[in-house]
Formats: sequence, C-alpha cells, structure tokens
Amino acid sequence: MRYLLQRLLQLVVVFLIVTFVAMVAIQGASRDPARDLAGPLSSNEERVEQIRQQYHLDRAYPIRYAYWLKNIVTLDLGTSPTNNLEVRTLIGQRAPVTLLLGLYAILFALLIAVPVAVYSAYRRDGPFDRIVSGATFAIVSLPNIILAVLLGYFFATKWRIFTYAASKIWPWDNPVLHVKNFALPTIVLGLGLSAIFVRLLRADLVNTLQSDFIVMARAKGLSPRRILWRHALRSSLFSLMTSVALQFGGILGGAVVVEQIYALPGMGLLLFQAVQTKDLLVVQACAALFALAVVLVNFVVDLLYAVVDPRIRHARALG
Amino acid sequence: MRTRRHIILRRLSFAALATTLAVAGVACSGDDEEATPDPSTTVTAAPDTSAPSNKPVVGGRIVVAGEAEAGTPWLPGAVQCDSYCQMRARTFYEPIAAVDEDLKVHPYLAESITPNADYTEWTVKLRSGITFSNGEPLNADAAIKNIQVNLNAPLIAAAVKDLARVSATEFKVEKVDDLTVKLFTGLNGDPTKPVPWPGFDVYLGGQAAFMAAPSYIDKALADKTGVEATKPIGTGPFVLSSFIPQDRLVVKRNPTYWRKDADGVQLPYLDEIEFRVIPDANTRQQALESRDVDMISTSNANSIADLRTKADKFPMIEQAEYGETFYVLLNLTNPQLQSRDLRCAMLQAIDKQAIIDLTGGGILTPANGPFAPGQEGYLEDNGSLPYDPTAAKAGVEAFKAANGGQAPKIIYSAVPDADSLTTAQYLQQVWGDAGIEVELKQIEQSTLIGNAVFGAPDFNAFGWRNHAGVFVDGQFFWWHSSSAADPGQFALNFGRLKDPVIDDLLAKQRSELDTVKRKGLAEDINRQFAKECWILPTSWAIWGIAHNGSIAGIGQLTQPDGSGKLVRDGAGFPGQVWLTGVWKKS
Amino acid sequence: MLAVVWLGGLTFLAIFANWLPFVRRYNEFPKGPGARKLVAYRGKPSSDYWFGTDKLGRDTFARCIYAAQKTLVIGAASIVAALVIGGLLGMLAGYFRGWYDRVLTVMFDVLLAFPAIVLALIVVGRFFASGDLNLGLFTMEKRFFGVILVLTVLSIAPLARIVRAQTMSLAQREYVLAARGLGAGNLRVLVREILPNLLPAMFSVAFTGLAVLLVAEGGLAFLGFSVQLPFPTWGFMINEARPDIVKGGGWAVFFPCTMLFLTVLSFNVLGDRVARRFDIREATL
Repeated sequence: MRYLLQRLLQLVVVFLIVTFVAMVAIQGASRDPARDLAGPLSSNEERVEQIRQQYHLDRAYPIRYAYWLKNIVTLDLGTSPTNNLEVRTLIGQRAPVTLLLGLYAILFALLIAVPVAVYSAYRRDGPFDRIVSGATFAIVSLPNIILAVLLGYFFATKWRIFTYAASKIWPWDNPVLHVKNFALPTIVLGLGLSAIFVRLLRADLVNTLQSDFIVMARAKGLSPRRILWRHALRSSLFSLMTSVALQFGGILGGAVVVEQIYALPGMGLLLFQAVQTKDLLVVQACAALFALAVVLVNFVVDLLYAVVDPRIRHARALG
Repeated sequence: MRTRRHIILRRLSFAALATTLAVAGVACSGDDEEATPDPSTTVTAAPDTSAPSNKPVVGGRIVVAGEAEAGTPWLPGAVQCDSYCQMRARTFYEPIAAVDEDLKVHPYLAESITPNADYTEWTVKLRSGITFSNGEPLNADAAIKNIQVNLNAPLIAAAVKDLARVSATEFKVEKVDDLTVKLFTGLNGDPTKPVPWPGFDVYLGGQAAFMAAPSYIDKALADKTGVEATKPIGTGPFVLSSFIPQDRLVVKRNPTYWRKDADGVQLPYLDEIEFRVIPDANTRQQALESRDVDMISTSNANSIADLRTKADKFPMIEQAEYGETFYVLLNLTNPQLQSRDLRCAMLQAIDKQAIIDLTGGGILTPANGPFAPGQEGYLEDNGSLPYDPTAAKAGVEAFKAANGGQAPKIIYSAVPDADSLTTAQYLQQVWGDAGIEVELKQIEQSTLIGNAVFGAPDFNAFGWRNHAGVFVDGQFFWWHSSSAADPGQFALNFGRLKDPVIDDLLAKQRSELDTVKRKGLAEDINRQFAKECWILPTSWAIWGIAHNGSIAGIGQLTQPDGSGKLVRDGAGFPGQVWLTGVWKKS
Repeated sequence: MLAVVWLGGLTFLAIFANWLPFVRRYNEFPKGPGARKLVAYRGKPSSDYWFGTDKLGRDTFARCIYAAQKTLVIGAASIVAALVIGGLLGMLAGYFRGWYDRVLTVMFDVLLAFPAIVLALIVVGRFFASGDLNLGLFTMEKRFFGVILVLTVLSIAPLARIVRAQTMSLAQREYVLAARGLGAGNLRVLVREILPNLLPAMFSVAFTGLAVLLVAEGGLAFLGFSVQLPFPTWGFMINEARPDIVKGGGWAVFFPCTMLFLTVLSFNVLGDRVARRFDIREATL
C-alpha cells in the first residue's frame, strides 16, 4: 500500500512537471501568446489585450501556471478562439474517440500477438517462427502513413468494406457502422503494436520456457500445451502489461498520424490542428490530457501488479 | 460580389485545415465578397446535373465534404469564410443580393437595390414577409443591425472603407421605411465626401451581407466565449441542427422557408445535409470514391485530374474562371527585392508548366498575372516576361553589378505539405541556377500567415494563393498602399506593395461609371503588375465539385426574381454550389 | 552476415556517394520545356534510373543513397546520445537507489508522458527551425540537429529504464558485493564491475532502438518536422511521395520503404546476435 501511495505521489509530480514544462515551452516558443490566441489575422489590439488579461499572460510563468491549475480543477480551460468553442467542450468531443481508438488498437494488437507469439515460442526457430520474425520487422519498418493509405485504398475505396473518412459513431448508436468507421484506424495503429508485442512476448516465453519451474512442470509430465498456456504465458503477462503501459504514449502519438489520414475527429487530429493554428490553450490542454492518460495507465499497471501478485511488485520495480 | 478572397497557400493538400482557416480568414472576411456569377462553370460529365427534365425529389439526406473549417464561426462579419464555409453558410444564411451568370447583381433577400444618379447612395428595399427561422421578421431594423455589426468587423471594414460613417463604430445608414434602408458612400468613411461607387452592390452579395436574426447577433456579441456565435439563425432554407467544429455540421430543412420553386413546390428539396471537414485532399477524394460522402469540393489539381478520368461514376462540375492565382508572394520591403532586375530574373527562371506538372496534376493553366480568365482586367497578353533561364541569369548579373557584386540571397518559406515542399525544391534549384542563393524554410501555416501579415524580416518569398473574384475593386485593399503598413504592423497588403501607378488606377476604377473604361483601368493594373514583376504568378486554380451521381439539381435553381439561374450559385467563390435547389435522386 | 554486408555496403555508398560515378546527384532533375518531355516524372525503374524517378524527375536511387547519409547519422547520433545520457542516469538510479532513484524515475516518467508532437513543435518548429548551428569544430543544419535532439529525448527514458533494471540486478550479484566488501568505491564498482556487464545489453538495445528511431523519423517528416530541404531522409522521401501511391507513383515510396525495412532488419539481426551471444533477455522496445 505504501508503495502504491508513493507511486501515486510520484505520478502526480510527473503530471505537474509535464504540464508546467509544456506550458513554459508552448507559450515561451510563441512570440506573443496573446496574439496567437487572438488569431494570426486579428488586427484588434483591444481583443489581444483582453486575452492577455483573461489568461494572465502578462504574469510570470509560475503564477500563470497556478491560474491554469486552478482552471483545470474547475474544468474551465478557456475558449478556443478559432473554433469559438470552450476548450473543455472541444476536448469532451474528441477525447472519447482517441481513447476508444487506443483501446481497440491495444486489444487488436494483443489478439494477434498472443497466439502468434505463443506458437512461435512453442515451435521456436521453426519455419513459422522465422516467417513471423521477418514479418514483424517488415511491419515495424513500414511507416504508418503508407500502411494507412494502402489499407484505405483496398478496404475502403476498392472493396468498400470499411469507411475511409471515419466518423465518430458510437457502438450503441449503430454497432455495424461503428466497426466500419473504427476498423481502419484500429488496424493501422494496432498492427505495428502487435509486431512489438509479438517480439516481446515471444522472447519472454522462450526465456520462461527455459526457466526452472517450467522444466519442473515438464518433469511432472504436464503437457507442453498446458505448460505454455497456463504457466509460461501467465508469468509473461506482466512484462506484456509493462510494455502496454510503456507503449501508451507512443499509441497516442500514432493517433496523431492515423486520425489525420482517416479524418477521424479525435484528440490527435485536434492537437495537430491546434499546433497548426497556434491555438495554444488547446495544445496545452491536449498535452495535459496526454500526460494524464500516460500517467494513469502507468498507475493502473502498478495497481494491477500489486493486486495480482504482491511479490511481483519488486520485480516490476526491477524493470 | 466580387471576390472572395481566399488566400490560401499553395495547395493545402494535407496541411490543411489550419491553413485554410487562417488564410481564408483573411480572405474572406476581408472581403467583400462575392458575387460573381459564373459562367465559368463547366460540367465535366454528369448529364444528370443538367437534365432539368427530372422532376425534383423531395426529401432525403446527403453528406458533403470540404477542405477546411471556418475560423471563428458563424457570426456573418466575424467568420473567416472560405468557399466551403460559404457553401455551408448559404444553407442557413442568405445574402441581400446574388450575382447571376450575366455578371449582374440581382436582389435576393432584397426586392430592389437602387443607386442614385451618381452612385453615392444605395437604397435597399427588402422583400416583405420573410422571417428568420426563429420567427423574427426580416425588416429594416434587422438589416441595419446586421450592417452595423457585420460591415464593422475588422477585415470587412477595410474592404468597405469608402462607406460613410457617423462614428468610428457606426455607418451612416438611414431607415427609409419599415423595409427600406439607405447607405451612403464617403471617402475613407467621411460622410461629407461622397465617392461614386458604382460597384458597391457586389458587396451585398457576400458574407458581409448575410442576414442573421437580431436576437442571435445580440447573444453572440454578448458572449465572450464565442459559443453563442456557433448557433446561427438566418432566413435560409435549412436550420442548423448540430455543429462540431473541425468535424461536422448538420442542417435540417427550415419548415417556414420563404421560397418555392417554379412549380410551386416548397423549397428546399432535401431534408437534411451533413457537412464534413476532411482536410487531406487525398482522403477526401477516397471518401467520395468509397461512397462515404456524396459530394466533395476540392481545389487539389491532382484530385481533379484523377476524378476527370472517373467522370462516368463521379460527375464533376469544374469552376475554372474568376478563381485564385497561385503565385510567389514577395516582401517588397526587402532591399534586394526592391530591385526589378532581381524580381524579373526570379520570374524568368520559373518554368510555370513544370510547376503545374509537378503539383497541379498537369491540368492548370500557366498564369501571367493576378487576373484569372473571366476577371475584369484579365489579358491574354499583358506583357509578362516569358520563361527564359538565360535572361534570368543576366538579370541576376545586373542585380549584382548594381549591388557591388553581392549575390542575391533569398529565403523561401514553405509549409510542410508535399506539394508545397516540391515547389520549394523546384524553385531553389532554378533560382540557384540563375545565381540566386536560396534558403528553404519549413514553417507551419499560422507562422507563415503571421509572417506575411506582420512583414517579418525572414519573410522574403513564399507560395500563395489569392485574388479570386470578378471585379478589380475587390482587390483594392490587397494592393493599395493604404493597406501596406510598415513591417511589424498588421497589413493586408502582405507584400507591402506601394506603387503610385497602381494606387492611382485602383482609385480611378472605383468611381468609374463606364464599365468599359473600368475594364481598361483594370487591364492597366494587370500590365503594371507584369511590367514590374511585383508578384511571380505561376498558375490559376481550378475547383471541382464532384459527386457520386445521386445528386441532381446543381445550378438549376433560379434567382428569386425568376431571372437567371443561380450559377455558381451567386457566390463567386469557386468551389461551392448553392444547395437550396439540390435534390437526391431516389 | 547478410546484415553486415547490407549495412556495410549502404554505409560505403552513403559515404562515397559524391565520388561514385554511377550515383547521380540527389537533387539533379531535368529542367526546361525540352527536358520535361524527355524524362517521365514519377518514372518506372529502368536501366538508366534503377529505382525510377520521383515526381521532380530526380533519380530515386541516388536520393535513397544520399538519404541514407542523413537517416543513418540521425539514427546513430540519437541512439548514442540517448545511450550515454540514459545509460548514465539509469545506472545512477539503479545503483544508488533511494532519492536518486525516485527523482530520476520521476524524470523518466516525465519524458515518457510528454507528447512527442509538442516536443517536435518546440524543438524543430521553433528553436531549431532553420539556419546553421555552429558547434565550434564544424557546423550543422539546425533542423538536422533538432531532429536528433527530439529523437534523443524521446529515447532516453525507455533506455534508462532498461539500464536501471539491469543495474539493479547486477548490483545484487556476488562479484559486485564482493568488490564492495573489499572496499572498492562506488565509482570504481560502477566503472569496473557494472558497466562492462551492462555493455552487451546496451548494444543489443541500441540496435533495436536504432531501428525504431529510423521509423520515428518518418513520423516527424509526416508532421512537418523533418530535416532541412532539399537533402532528404528516407522518412521524408516516403512522405513526399505518399499522395501518389495509389496514382501510379508507388515506386518513389517502395524503394525508400524497402531500404528502411532492410536496414531495420539488419540492425535487429545484429541486435539479436549480440543478445544471444551474451544471453541477454530481449529488452522491451
């Protein structure tokens, strides 16, 4: 428990540092944040001054940050001038999309990775293993953008199985359309991930299979399949979990690219657009949310460790 | 009507949104907007669009996609309105006037628009019986409120600077009767100095003359967050149903709409339209081909070239006239670029056709100046210098000789989309061959626009797109020295062009009553641009509206007075159609 | 073996590209109306243009070779810098534990949680947007440096975490404890006992990490935060030709992708070799 509390505290500190650094960097990199917020074409000096006052842009960074934190707590993130919309509304519309996409991508990746890795490890250095190994490299080195365009061309334009220009359609509104809209972004994002998971899990399994307790289990006459699924895989799950947590930041980064190509209105697209239009408040809010997501996922993984097996906690601490 | 000013940088293919937005902002808002009619419309394939024999079908829903979201939506004066914004806004707002294929301004919400003998006073009489979708009547008071608010928006105010004012914040507008208002001209707003302004009525067809419900305007102005502004109420055929910026806008039929078609059928035909924003041109085209959307608007020449080959499945309406010019914008406050030798050398080093082949799908026309075909001032031969690498080298040598042997050094800025970067690399090569050292700078859109607006020192040259519209008056504030503030200050004359000859011609044409003479003045402006190489034009934009064959009635609707068809739908911005009279085939 | 040949050959070509007679200049393209008709833009591979041409009519083969220079240097420089910094910090955290560990762990988490696009925007988009950087001995393009910086920062945390974990387990080993018992100072233990044992794992991680970075550079190119033009990287080339994939311009994408793939594969094979040789558990990517 003490460990978890300590970890939680650490992560809160992480969040504070990330958001503070992001604020200083984003606003510091701008010639005049108030003008950027007013829009590049605003000739209205009054408006610029009003924005400067409203967001305390004439104050020192720590004070600005204190105001920002206060606003975060009250969920008042200001207004996006380009969109004429409150930032929280904007984020509220976008965040669920990316969250869902990230979740789907991880699930998709695991769904592919686990069986493939298990079979590869089971028949280590066999033909299947070799093909898989080559394939994972190919997938890792295939840029998302290219995969996205190719899959889009075949699955959407040519065969019309999925949607190219994806929309935000919730599963409870129309499950079929939902799948059609989220399929391509999920596959593009998840495929690269699955390659990473396969490599990790396979190596881990191979290692575990050579370890003492497995050898013992084998000596006891348990069938190899049972050993693999029940014992080896279970112990490898932890490193897989860690990997998921580590990859989470990368998944969010990948969403920027994928959402852009499939016009899926999520956080990644929002962040990209905000960067382009210098909508600093939105950039800051997105950065905060990304950080929060990464921090939360890490904490949940820690929590799982603690719940599933207190002894492993130490091992996790080891890496 | 005139012009739209959409400035947009070179081909936004995927950089997009932002781009467009910002730029468009200027653009449009600045202006006066449009109303250009457009004969320029050509139908590539699509027999259906031109087959009026089909009886319109009432009902149905279509999905439309365009390239950018409007900035600061939807208060008519404040919204940064590019063509896709116009197309969407015209479903819930309507302007006072619209331009027809005869290039004349026709009253739309107005019953009549009448100037006095010397064109210094304009009387607008509204149609009676029109109400906003919230039930408020469209009357003189509502019109005055709109005029005072919309025409006073910063960028639009620059475009109508010669409209008389009674104070810094108020125009001189007279309420004649409950449905009639009168506007007055005045040099730089001075009511004691009326200026003949025969072309003023075109401004009544654009964004600035969209009529919004007074209660909506009050709410929008009172709300500092801008949220209220995103809930527009107008007189249009549709009413806003939902709006998520950068994503989608849904409009539903307005049950109390005032227009009926020629057969007496209540307009509009469609029940609902969903508008999506898909910045990436390639994605947008694929979305059409995969039938995710029914209709797209695009200015990506590669897309248009590709869709031409698929015209049987995806009929496309092309709009090639009055469009924007793609050009290299030069910062004329840069000491080197004040040399005509250097500017013209840069121009002569460019093989325009090569850039078109590289980024324009090979289908665009090389441009000789900022006046596209169809525009007042367009000339087939304006004396523009031809492609000539040898002459370019000689020009650079002349520049060197005049500058103590110092070789010219230029920074060319490009935004990070593929076509922009390709053009940049091409220019670096050919200018390099001519003896100019070129540094490429990769920056984002908003920075690029900011650099232009404020004349940043590292803004030397970059690819730009602007100056659509029919009449040269619409370009007034882009080129007149009065809008060329010093570097560091906000200026819409981005290149800081200060040419007394052009200033003089612009002032003359504004008050010229004789349209033939006015055309002559516009042509002189064109020649002056060519002579001085103020900008380096490369090509003229083409817009395409492509659909999947299920849509009919594009361009079939007539003006309310029954005169001509609302071709290009009265807008003048290429890249859009008027959706009031469009239906979906059952 | 094949991997070594590939990497060696590529490096050779990249380094000597300027002097090799069969490699054209990376930015050479036909100019003028006549030339335009002669050479097909987006050309197919031919005996003259082995990899075809891109849309400017430039030789894709030459561009791939030249791009290798930049791409490989970016990858190598980033990974080396990240290894040195991340390795050092990871060692400190893993060896001293306690407050060092807590503070450094927070720092690693901060790096992991910082959105890459914001980092790239600030570093490449603002502070190293253009011009040259004078480093005393030599100058380099600012953007080039910026890209390396971004990739370095992005890889510090994952590497440091691995090194930290390895250090922790090494620090428990008998010989380390013995050395300490004999009175060896912390510095001595770290340098003489732990570092040598960390090196194989670090090499292995470096090879895998390098591959990831090469691909990540392409991501930066997509976002518009790539190196100074016109000298390309593979990522930039791929991105530049992306809109043409389904319109007959696929060759200009195919070859840099293939180069990227073979290089990534080679590095991974080498990484695997090292790992097997020293019996290292494969590190988390």
